[in-house]
Amino acid sequence: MRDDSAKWSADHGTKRTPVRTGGVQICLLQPHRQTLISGPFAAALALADCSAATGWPDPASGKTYALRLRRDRILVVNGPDLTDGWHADPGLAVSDMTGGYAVISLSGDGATDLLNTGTELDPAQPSASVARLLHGYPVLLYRFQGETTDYRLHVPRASLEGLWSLLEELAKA
Amino acid sequence: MTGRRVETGGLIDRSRTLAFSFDGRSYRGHPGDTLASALLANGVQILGRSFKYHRPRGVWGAWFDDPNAIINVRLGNDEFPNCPAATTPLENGMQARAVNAFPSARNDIKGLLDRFSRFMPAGFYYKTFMWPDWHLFEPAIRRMAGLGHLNPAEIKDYQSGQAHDRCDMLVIGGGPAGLVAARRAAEAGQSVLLIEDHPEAGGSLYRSADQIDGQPVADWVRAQVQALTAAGGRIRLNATAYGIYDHGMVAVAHSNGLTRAPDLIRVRAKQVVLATGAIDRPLTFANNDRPGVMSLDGAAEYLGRYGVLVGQKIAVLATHSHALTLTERLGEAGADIRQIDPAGKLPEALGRSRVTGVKLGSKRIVCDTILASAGYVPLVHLWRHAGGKLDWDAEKSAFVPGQPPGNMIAIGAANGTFDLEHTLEDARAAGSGQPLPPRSGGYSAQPPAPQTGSRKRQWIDFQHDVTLKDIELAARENYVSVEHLKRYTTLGMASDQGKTSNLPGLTAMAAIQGKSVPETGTTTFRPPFVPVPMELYRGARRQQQFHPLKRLPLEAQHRAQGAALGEYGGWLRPGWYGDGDTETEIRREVRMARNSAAVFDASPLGKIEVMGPDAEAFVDFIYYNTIRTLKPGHIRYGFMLTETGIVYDDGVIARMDDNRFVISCSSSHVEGVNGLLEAWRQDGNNPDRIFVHDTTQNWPTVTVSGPRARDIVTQLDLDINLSPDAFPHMTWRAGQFQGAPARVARVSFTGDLSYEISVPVSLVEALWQAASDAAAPLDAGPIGLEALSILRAEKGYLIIGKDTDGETMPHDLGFGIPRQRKKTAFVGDRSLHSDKASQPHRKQLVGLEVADNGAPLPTGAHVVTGNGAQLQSCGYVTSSYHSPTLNRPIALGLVQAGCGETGDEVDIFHLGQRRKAVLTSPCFFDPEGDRIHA
Repeated sequence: MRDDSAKWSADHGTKRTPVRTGGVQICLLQPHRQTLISGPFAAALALADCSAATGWPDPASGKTYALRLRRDRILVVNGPDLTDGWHADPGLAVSDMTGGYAVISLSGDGATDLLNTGTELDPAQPSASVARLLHGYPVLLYRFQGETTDYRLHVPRASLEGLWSLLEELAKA
Repeated sequence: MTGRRVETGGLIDRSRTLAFSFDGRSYRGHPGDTLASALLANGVQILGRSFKYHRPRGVWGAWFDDPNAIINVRLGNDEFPNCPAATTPLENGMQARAVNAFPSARNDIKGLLDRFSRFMPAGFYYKTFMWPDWHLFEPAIRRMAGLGHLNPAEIKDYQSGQAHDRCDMLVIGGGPAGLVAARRAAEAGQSVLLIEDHPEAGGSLYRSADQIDGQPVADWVRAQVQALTAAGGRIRLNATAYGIYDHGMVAVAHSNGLTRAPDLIRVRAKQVVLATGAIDRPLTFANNDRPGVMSLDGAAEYLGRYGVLVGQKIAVLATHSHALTLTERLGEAGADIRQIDPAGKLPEALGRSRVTGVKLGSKRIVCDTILASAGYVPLVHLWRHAGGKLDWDAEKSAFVPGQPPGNMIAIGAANGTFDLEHTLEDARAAGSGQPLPPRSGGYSAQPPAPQTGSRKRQWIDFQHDVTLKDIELAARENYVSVEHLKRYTTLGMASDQGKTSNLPGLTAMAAIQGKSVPETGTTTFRPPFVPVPMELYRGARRQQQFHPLKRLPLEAQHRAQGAALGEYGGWLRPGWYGDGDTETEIRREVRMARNSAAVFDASPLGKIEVMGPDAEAFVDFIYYNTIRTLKPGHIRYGFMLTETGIVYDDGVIARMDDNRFVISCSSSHVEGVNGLLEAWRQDGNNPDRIFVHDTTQNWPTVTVSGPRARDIVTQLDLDINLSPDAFPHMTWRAGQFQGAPARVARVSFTGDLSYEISVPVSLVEALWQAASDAAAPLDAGPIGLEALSILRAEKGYLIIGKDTDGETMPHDLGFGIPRQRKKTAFVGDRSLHSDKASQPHRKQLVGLEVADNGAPLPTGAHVVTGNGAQLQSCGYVTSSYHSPTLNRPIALGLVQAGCGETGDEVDIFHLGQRRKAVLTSPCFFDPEGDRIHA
């Protein structure tokens, strides 16, 4: 029973100013929708209206895309509006996770080195899954091909403050 | 020893001077010096004291193989303890001081201990200080032990960076073998990383040769480095591979100088080439620890790299075939060299605080330095870290790499190839991916057998004062296994981790037992190869990142309302609100919740969805309670057990429809419960018919609880009929809040009418605000975890892990019916029928009322029987509070059945104090449940 309010810097929630420092730009993205789908992979892609799911190191692109988390699970970003629950016909479980994950964009010349401080980014080591630990935080990490090739990180909402402040500190170092 | 700087040679910058001090005396050195080389150049002979006998110590080696010169360095306002002088680069303004010596290494008052050495052999601690009680002596011994002085002040900005790296070929060691192998591989198109622990590449070349391939050494090294980098290879200087870990991860410490923390680089390579070289093995002879006795290789290194001639009249006692080359280089630099064959009679170093000569039988040779070498010891530590085997090479008297670990090869001296020509053949083969040529001959080392039984002391471990006599003593006392020998004598346990002492120690034990060295065996090689600061491992894990808490979406609102935030189960949550006295505020919140209503942020409560056609059977199997009879729209309280029948978590489960359940587990148990569900899902079930989604962080929850809760929730406009008949206790309804879905559950953790309202993250601020606005006119408002803990204890509700322990089963908590009647299998079922589970005196959950009109019972206090020696615990207090509702103390406890019946008075014992309490039902408030069903 102790008041530790002052020991923890205030959480800034999802209102965050982009950080530009040390050759790195860190931005918080606000995807319209994130949907977790579990079940047979091909059926999950079909339900999400996606042709493939991104793993590592191939980049995702476009407004709507799917990330592969494991053999039988994808996370669809900005996909169709699906009803939560069990979809009996294709045999899929669907849950909205729009607010469950915060999404960070990491770009710039120093982005790879920054990520390499907390995880092993090896383009020669492909993985079907985007799930990994970054400095101990469970994240979904993948490359995104937009105007430039950036990295994107999906982190559980409750860990956003911790991971953001860590990335900011490492970028400044 | 009369060390001096020679006019030319070495890699130091003679055009610049650095000032420093050692033990209070001022000296000068040059950039490129180490502390040890600078002190030797200034003629300093004694750089430290040994650990146990405080014998004077000079330097033995020129790099990480020196066990003697351990220094505290002060630079500016910062102090760096236990710096090895031989590897610490000299900086201007350094104030160095020998460790383990007072007032100085030269005049250490504890040097008198050596007079009593005969009474302090190996193991004397264990024999001498056992009676009457070790703890009487321990404080004084601990004060005397230890080396450097740790300054508790934090060194500003001393922070290690961490990184991951990868390559096709990692070459460890930038000597001739490493350079050639790395260059070859890079030119063949491989991505190559070469690491070298010195500030310059070149390795042993500076001490062993003037020219290579017809070029001066420095030019040849420069050409190799340029060719390597031109071919795309990378080179990291000042970097030491100090360990190889699981799956071939090589840990590299990259030095940034003394005042900045080193960086940790984790390297993964398809192939690792070990080109780490070899070090000198000390020769075992009488008084071989005197300042002035040092490694032949080390002396040559000081000359070649630092331009320091370590002595003027030098006696060389070497027993290997390559000693002559080094000796000649020292002679060419101006030393008067005398070669002595140490075989036969036991040599003895003469002199007390420095060498004045060497005695061989009746013959005395005057000298100021003795350079000793019993042969080369390949540096195979990393080879062993990686799981490689060792072979004993009798000709070389050394362990050399044998069966290799998966992706590693050793070349050059690390492979037992000690001549340059064959080393380069090794390197060219390794760089080209060709098989290595057979290990070369042409080198032999035949150190004399240790002469046991002598009255003279012969040192095996210089830093820890382990002598040949200690090895003999260990053998007599049957500590003959090398692992026992090491621990009994502390051989090899000094800061150099046995680099110089292990092989002489093993050889001595082998000789004493009449066995061969390989029959005697080696100790285990473990990382780190060199000492590294603890900071290296910390990385970004500091301050708030050490144990980052999960953060609530409503944290800003809580802070604005004056919440006192603290850690509760891995989350930063409000403990209470308000600026007043803590107890007063908490009691105010409890009374408010009972008299009107409370608004509580319950967002961390688990929301784990289980979906699929087999979901019903699955959750029925997972739960202790029967779940398959639960109807859609309804909620049931239940336990999850471990396979041993112990209560793992409690909470409610809601049925959404035929194929979908939501498990509301404890806030701090979400990851654990999710893992448990996943584990069982994949074990004995069809994983395509059951899926588990942890949606906790997508559905933050606001709870409204209290007699006025319905009035508040009505104003939230959830599109739900809230009447008690339409929405009874233990049901849930799907509603809407501001157009978005809202899940509303009528469950209670306070004992009052309660609604748990879960909405999408984007709307939780609005929901909190609306609930707070509706609460304010009713004298209701927010409460924190502390008030909630009291409210639930008044009702007798559990917190798992607080009111249960590692033996608590559900029938201990009053939930015995499923154990007797549940027909389908469930996790933990068998264990609930074991003898232990059926014992009559198991600890059970009880209520405790204070019988002496005193303060609340201390949590953790024991319920006892008997007195004095017969005092016996039969349980303990798990939760204890002053109840603002009842205006008296209440407590919950786990107490053995048979210790008393409800209404009986029991004794409570805590820190020597006895009090009285009465056993009661755990439910102190509204036992009929009128309020919860309101």
